[in-house]
Amino acid sequence: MNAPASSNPIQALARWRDEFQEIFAARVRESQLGYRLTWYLGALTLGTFTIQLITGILLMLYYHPSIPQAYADMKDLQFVISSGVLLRNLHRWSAHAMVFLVFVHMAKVFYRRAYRPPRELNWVVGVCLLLLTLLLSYTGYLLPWDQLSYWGTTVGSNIMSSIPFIGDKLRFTLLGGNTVNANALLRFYVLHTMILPLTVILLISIHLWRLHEDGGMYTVGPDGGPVPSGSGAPSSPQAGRTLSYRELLFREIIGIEVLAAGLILIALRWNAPLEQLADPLHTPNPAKAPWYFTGLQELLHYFPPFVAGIILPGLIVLALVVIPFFHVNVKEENLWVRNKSSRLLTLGIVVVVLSVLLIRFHAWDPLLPVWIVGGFMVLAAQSSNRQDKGFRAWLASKPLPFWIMTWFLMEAVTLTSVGTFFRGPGWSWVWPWRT
Amino acid sequence: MPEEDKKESPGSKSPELNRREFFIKLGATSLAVAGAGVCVFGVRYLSPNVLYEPSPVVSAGKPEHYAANSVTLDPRLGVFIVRSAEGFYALNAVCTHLGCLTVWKPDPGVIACPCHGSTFQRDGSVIAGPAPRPLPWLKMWMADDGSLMVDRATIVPPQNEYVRA
Amino acid sequence: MSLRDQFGRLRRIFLGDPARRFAWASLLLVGVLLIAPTQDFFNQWRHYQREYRKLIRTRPDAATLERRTVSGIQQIWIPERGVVDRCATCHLALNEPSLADVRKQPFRPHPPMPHSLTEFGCVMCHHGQGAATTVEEAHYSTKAWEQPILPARYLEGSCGQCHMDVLEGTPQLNLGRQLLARYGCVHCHSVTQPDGTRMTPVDEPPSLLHVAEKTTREWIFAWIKNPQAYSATSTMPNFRFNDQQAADIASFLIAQSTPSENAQHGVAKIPAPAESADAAQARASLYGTLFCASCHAIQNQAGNLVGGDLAPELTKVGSKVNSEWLIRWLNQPQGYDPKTRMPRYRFDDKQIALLSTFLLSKKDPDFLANVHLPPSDAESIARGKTLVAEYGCAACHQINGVNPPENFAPDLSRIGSKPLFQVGFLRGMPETLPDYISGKIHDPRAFGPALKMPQFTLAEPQIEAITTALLAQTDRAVTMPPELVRVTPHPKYHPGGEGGLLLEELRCMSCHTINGNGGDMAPDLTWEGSAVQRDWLYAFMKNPNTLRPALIRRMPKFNLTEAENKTVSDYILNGYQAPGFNSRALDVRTLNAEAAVRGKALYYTKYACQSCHIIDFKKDKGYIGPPLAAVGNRRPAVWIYKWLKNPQAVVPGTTMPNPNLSDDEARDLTAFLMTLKARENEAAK
Repeated sequence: MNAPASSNPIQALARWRDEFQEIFAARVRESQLGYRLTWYLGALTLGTFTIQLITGILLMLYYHPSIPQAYADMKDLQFVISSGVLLRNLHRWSAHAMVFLVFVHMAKVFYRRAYRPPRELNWVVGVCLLLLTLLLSYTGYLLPWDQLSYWGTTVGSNIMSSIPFIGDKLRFTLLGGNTVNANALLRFYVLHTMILPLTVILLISIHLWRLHEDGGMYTVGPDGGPVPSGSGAPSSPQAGRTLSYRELLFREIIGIEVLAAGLILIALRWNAPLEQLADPLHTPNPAKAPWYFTGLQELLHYFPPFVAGIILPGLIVLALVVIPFFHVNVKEENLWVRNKSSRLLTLGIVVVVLSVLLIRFHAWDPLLPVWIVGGFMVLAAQSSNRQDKGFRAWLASKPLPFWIMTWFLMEAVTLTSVGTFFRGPGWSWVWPWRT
Repeated sequence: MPEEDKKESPGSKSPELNRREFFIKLGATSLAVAGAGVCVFGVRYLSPNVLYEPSPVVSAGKPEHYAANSVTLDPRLGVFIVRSAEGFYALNAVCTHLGCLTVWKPDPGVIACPCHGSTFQRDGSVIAGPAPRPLPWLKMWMADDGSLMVDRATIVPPQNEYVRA
Repeated sequence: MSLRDQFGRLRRIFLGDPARRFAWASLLLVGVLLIAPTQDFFNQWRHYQREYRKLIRTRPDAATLERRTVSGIQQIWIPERGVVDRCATCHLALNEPSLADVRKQPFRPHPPMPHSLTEFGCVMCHHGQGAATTVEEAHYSTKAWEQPILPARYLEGSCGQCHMDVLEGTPQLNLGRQLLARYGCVHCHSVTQPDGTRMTPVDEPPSLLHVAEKTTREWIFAWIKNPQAYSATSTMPNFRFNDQQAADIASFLIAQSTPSENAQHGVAKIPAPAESADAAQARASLYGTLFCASCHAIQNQAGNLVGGDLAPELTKVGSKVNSEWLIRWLNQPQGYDPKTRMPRYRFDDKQIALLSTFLLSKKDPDFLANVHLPPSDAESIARGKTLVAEYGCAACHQINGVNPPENFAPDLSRIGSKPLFQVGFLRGMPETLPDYISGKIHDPRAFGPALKMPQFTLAEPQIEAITTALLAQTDRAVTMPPELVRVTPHPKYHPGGEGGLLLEELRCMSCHTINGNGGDMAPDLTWEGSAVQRDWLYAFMKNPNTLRPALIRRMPKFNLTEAENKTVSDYILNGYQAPGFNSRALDVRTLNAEAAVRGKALYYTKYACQSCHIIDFKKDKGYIGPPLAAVGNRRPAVWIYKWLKNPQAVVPGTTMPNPNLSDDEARDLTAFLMTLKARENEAAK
């Protein structure tokens, strides 16, 4: 891309167009255009983030990060500002959608093993984006300054203070005080509207740039190894290929349009939650975090804050980060071909230790995934020498990371749904259909 | 998603291709409409339906608080209450030059702007300085309870109406 | 074609290729985006504004109304009070009295009120969410707003947020506050009022320091079990004690009792009562002529209570009190209870014998018939003491060895703003604050058998009144800036000096108000010294029976000695002089005979005073105002003159109209009235 000596606007635009085309790989196989491969999850996530940016900037025009004006602004958005309530709802529901899509996107990438070299660092960037998405949600949660947000943030910041040695200091610095107060509101506002979005934009750029550099969409070749769509395959480089920005982007835009329409419909029908003005003297019961944190809150119910709030999430993040580097079983060798008995024994020990640990803390609902995944692993081991192509053979072919990730996702789903649907006042067990 | 026949034969477009173009145009037009609609939303969103501003109609107190032949600046209201021989009238105290708040100088008996030195007569007309227009007269009337009311949003022609105490 | 094929065909037509999908998706987006402005166009407040325009078009003054009609969201913004009220967005006719006949909300005009809408907004009084522009959010309890519209029947409570004085327009609030003080609610609960003072009780529950002298363990037992069975008008609540608990408390109360000062005096023997009908009649008529019924009530044969409610009901007093105690009490009530409101009459022994016999005969043989208590023992007494401490008996009553508990019951100063999520509602009750408060007063123990609050005997209107008064205790009320609090200061007043002591002993202020302190049963004596003549007062104190003989509740006769009478009368005449009631207001030398003649003409002809007042009992028929036959004996000339000039200024709230007399006319009429000096007894005949 040497700078041309002379140019005219048409040429400049054409050059730009060429460069923008490269955001996606220039050409993709036609077989990759369908939604089955990625479910367009990355693009949809980007779509929700764009909605967040637009609605967020508009909401900032009516929002004062001060007490109690912040809450009064929520009321104004709801009652007097044209489309204010729609924008706020859209911002909130689209945030939920973004968290959800980021999770699913990650799972999809994992199960397609699209984290394998040379994409391992891009996977790590993705993990960072996941954390940033959660942080964005968490900081945005405080801004309405109602009972939900105040107590959600209080609970969240108290988890932080359980970090040994520096926890209290960290919490003090984050909140700008000992309690969630005016300083905290302002800090969360700056984080939510400046620091975190800018970081996310930067990381998304890197994410997409690397995606482009690594050849766009990830597919598995006939040998089971990665075949990047952009890199020239040995035979007939252009056969069955089409311009990605014309076809793929077009399809993804359709997906984003449908998603946006769906979110707007939801935003028109259901208002974003808003409770009473924050009252530091009265804790509502139950004080629930937003749904993507109820899993964490459920853990907090069982384990000491340091374990549930710091060690477990820390381990999960660590595990997610090391996945691409720890993937020794590149060839998807059957887990049970060698050392079957000793591996089964290890599995048994792990399940027993986990069960004992969980039972010790009276944590009943996280037990379920442990046993289910353990059971399926035993089933897989039983089926390891089958030659047919059924479900059990498919199970048997799954490597260890598959099992760990599945277990993790099942735990996440179990804890989140229990925390969201089955917990009532005093975090006691309630049946959702009985209320 | 098996694509239907779309072999490109230059020159003669197949009906399918025409239809395809039609649909793309339809979609693009709708998208443009949606975009325009969102812009209209945006503009409506940006113009607030309620204002947290003090009402332009304010009370300047009872007439007896003002001495005869006096010019009094009420800094809360940004208004001169002038009591002349003909009666009361109100002047906007915001300088017509660049919006500084003017003050009454009793010694020479002029209204002066501290920013760029404009001076005005007590009837608002410009004596000197860069001010392009005289200070506007504001609508003033006597309320039922006997206090002087000023509507800061309504300008009336100068030397037209005086309020009699 | 099978259904499946048809479906496939449709799918191809609509979604066959990305271009079609794109077209439909974009159209979907446009469609969805169109919903928002449609919703906005048909939103509630626009709907009501359209309805209002339709309504006023049918009115005769349509042009005026239309000119005054506003469109768009209306807002009352009062930053210093935190008020953002948008009620007027839909309630468009608040300031349109010409629409008074419109019954349909939200278009009713606001009834006349002492405040302007822009002064305090709407929500300060009506509650609800002022910022809201939808019916649901503005009026009802939602997740984002707890306080729904205050039902109209409790609305007076809102006045009580600033106004602490008795207002004419708020009878329910006034009654509620009176009941809070009278039923002793504020003995246990503390209620801080807008001016920062605590509400004080007025019920003065009896001291139990010497209770064993007065009554028996059995009576205490029966009383505790159900106070209203003894006296239906008792304000003592029912604690729902079981037999064991009541017996234990009775044992303890008897055990803690110490001898009173009275117990040191001997008791005159009462002759055995004469058992004739005449004797009984004599005893009853003494009770009547002493005007005991001014304060005490007794149930008559028909079952109606006759008498005042200032002091305990005496219907069954014979089942309660010990005869020796009664005699000592009638002699010197303050020797038993120094704080009692009962005056010290100067009864002679004969009167005491008659009275005590009469009272002891007021028995209910059934009341204690079934009370058989096991003998008291140390354990029972100890249990009783625990119960007395646990149930806060000492919050109201003085009891030896038990200190009055502090903050015994929850503070109610902000009960009107209690967050609903802190409230434990009963199953099935409407989840609003007024319903909770009235439910709690109605049946406190329904909210939990372990709760200590007792059951009060209150009628529904009384419960509603108390609820109203408690609803005034909002966060706003407590934090109200002082310049908004409307309260007349009532400095404590105690008459001083020797005469003052006598006034205290006679408990004048149990019935009369002096300088803003005292009871409201009898006339205010603050300016009495200017309102009566010396001789009249002196005679009246000796024998008060003569004034307004038709009343049951009247000034009792105290049997004062001459010296005592002089002390009291002089004290009143010199101490309670009104400012300006002197010779500068009226020169009494001008009240001559000619003036009286002119005055008589004015009286009978020009002003026709005889239509309300009687001078000649044979001729005159007016009965609305008091008879004036002897007014020249009772009232000083200056007082009459001032009264005639402006009755309201002398006695606020009097029904006497202001005749708007000239100075001369008033003087002449005064001269005439001062000639009316009939002997009162004669005049009344």
